[in-house]
Amino acid sequence: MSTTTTLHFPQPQAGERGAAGRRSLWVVAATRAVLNETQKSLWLLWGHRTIVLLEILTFVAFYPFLQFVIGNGTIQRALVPPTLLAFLALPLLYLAILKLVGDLLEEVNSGTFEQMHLSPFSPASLLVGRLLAFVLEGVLIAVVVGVLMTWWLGVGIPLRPAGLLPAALTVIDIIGFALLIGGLALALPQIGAIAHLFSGLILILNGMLIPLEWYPAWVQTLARFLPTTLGVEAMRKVVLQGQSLGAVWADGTLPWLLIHAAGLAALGWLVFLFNDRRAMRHGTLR
Amino acid sequence: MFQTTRGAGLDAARPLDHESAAGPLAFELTRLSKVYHRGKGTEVRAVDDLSLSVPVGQVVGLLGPNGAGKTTTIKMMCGLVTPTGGRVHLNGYDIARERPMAVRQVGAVLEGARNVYWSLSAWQNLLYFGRLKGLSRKLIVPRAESLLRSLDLWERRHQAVGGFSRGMQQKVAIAAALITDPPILLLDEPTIGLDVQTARTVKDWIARLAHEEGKTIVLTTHQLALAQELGDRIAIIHQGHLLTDLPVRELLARFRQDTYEIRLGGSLTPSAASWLDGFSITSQDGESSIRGPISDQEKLYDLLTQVHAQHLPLIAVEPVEPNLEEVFVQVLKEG
Repeated sequence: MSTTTTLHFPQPQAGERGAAGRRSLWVVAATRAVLNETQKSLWLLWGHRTIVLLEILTFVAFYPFLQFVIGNGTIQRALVPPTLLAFLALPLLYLAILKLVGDLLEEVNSGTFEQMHLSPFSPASLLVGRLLAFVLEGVLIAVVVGVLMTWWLGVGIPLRPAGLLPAALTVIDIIGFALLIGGLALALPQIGAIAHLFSGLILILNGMLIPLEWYPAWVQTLARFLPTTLGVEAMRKVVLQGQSLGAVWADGTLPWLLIHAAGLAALGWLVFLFNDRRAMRHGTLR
Repeated sequence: MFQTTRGAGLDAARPLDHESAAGPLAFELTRLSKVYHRGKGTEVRAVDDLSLSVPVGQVVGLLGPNGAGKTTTIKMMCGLVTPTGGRVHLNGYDIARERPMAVRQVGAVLEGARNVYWSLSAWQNLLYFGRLKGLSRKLIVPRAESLLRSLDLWERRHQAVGGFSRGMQQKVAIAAALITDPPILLLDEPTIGLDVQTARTVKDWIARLAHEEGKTIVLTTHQLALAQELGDRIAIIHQGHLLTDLPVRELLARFRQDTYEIRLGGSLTPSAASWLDGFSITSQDGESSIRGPISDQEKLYDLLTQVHAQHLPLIAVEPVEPNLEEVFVQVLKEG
């Protein structure tokens, strides 16, 4: 090669030398690496934009079809706002879980998962960057579905800023669950079947078919252990019933959602780290 | 703090306690071992008590038959497989204890893997792999351009790698491994599956990286001529054990002394066959060549006396250089 470029990672400036300066540089580099993962996933999604378009169309068609079947040939407008709100979590969940598992297994097979491990940053944090891309795609699909359905079915979902908190916690809940399933995928390549089973359970029980209260008490309790159920319940109270966050906190919905999201995120992180290290011990990163 | 190369800045390689007589060490494997547990109590000892130290700027050919432990060793070196025992130091950084700094010292092209994203373009791949190691776009762009131009990929940089030929894909993989300018490069079978011309391009490139950029390169390959041509030293492993680790010349010299070739300016008479038992004789264009094992000088002089009696002009008496393939087979046999 005729030219040689010697690269240096950014050196701390005089004022920021020392532990604090190094830490801040590290945080900048780590954030860049995580966002890099998000950008890569968006590039890959753009490369498969026809499939993304088909996904949007499928989700747009799926909701009215579900309501049509449940309504015995008609769509009951009263049921639309609560079930539609729950349905909007589906694209995020579907993309985060199934696409992440599919992506991981493909990367393990193609060897790019190993290359990801040649980064100085933790693979679990890089994976969060990738999940952010799926969340962005999921949000895009949810917005399209939401806007089209409210317009077509003539119902409205009020846009209340207070709904952002339970919505954000729901997203964290989904990311935690996706990390958990992704972590399991490293040890169990046949995890796809389990991921589909959970997706099906969530589809039935999180309130997107019929409101949660219509189920027996024991089913409601079981459903609240699944990702998105508590988030949808909190959002319904805040957005559709107009309750304040204080009221949702006081009745226990928000604290439980917080515990669920934090617990699932921690569990997902730990399971991913554990199985990632296990794969390195067993030589099965690829 | 965040430097990746052996530049003059702060915290480049951590040298002082990791130097040898030949200079600072690029990497050091100390009593490295790996045991895979394959269920039902079955254990596979892939690497066993392997120690290897390589000074900065050398090309090491890591050779061995299939299943010898080459790939496991390479993967332990870059932290993709956790060793059962032993230590790996890359430019002085312990891969187990200082992983973030250690992995920055190394770029790897792994065997049988795509190594890069086929759905992305060459340009996107280089940006991605640069940032993956914490570099900013400002630092990556000039390096990416330089790499792609020198690999003749610049014109096609925005095309998806999946549409490239196998050779071009391998070039992108090598460029991605080099995007952060790591001082150590691990190449696991880099020319496997490539046509002759592309393999030659890749080979020339490896030579340039070693001799012009001073990279330390570990090269595993079954193409022994490639290892002989590029390697400064050869390490041969078999069943996880390091059988030999010597500079190429020294390794070849070790197996040189037994075989000689005597070239004569004429054809030998049939009567010579009696005293040339065990030698191979070839005649071509009015010249004869006697080739065979001569264990000591006494035997050589005896033979030359017999040759002198044939009244044929003596053109040359030379020790025969064994090629690496012959040495490899011999080392495995002895090992």
